[in-house]
Amino acid sequence: MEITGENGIGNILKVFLQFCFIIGIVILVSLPFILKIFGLNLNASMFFIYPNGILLLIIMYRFIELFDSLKNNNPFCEENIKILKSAGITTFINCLFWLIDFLYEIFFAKSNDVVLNLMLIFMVILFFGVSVALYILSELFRKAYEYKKENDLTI
Amino acid sequence: MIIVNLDVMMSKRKISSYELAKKVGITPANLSILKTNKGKAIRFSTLNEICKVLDCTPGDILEYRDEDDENKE
Repeated sequence: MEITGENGIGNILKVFLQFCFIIGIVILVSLPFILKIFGLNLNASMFFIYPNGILLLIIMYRFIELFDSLKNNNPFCEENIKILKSAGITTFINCLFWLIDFLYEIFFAKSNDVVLNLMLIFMVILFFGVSVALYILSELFRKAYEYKKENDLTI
Repeated sequence: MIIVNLDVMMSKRKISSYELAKKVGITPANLSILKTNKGKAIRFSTLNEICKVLDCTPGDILEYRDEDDENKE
């Protein structure tokens, strides 16, 4: 199956991401109401969903732009390097937010909820891994862009 | 640095960019990159074709200039 181009899988993924982006906004806006339905309040720990959610929406928006370049059959461009790098940095900030949330749960909220604490540790490790992976990917894209540029300028 | 003196040879042989590009088998855009020294590398096959069409040697087209001398000037 084709990945780039007008009918490539990149285009389908872009539509899927746009759908997720809209759903993400709807969930963030309606979060207090959703919590109310389940009889929960928007406490400090739950509030961490907002900065994390907004950052994830930013990453998603940038990735929609990235899939646009797949449609144009030009994945190795300077813009994509910037997108991957900024996504890596944003994911690292996300990781820090999860870490703050975890520390808050342990030291301030004195939470005994093992499942919640394990989930928060998992999120910290996951986001840290993703941020490093995105940064490495951006560097790989930079190398590919340099090779492509050199190849294009070889007459 | 290597300087491409293609326009000098082209004016000597009285040949246009479009005609040379067509005879060599490259696009006029790529020939322009070569003429304006923006190219990163040149294939032997392209150099061979250019020399054949312009009836010259690679030395007539390519020239080495010391970058330090260039900066002093």
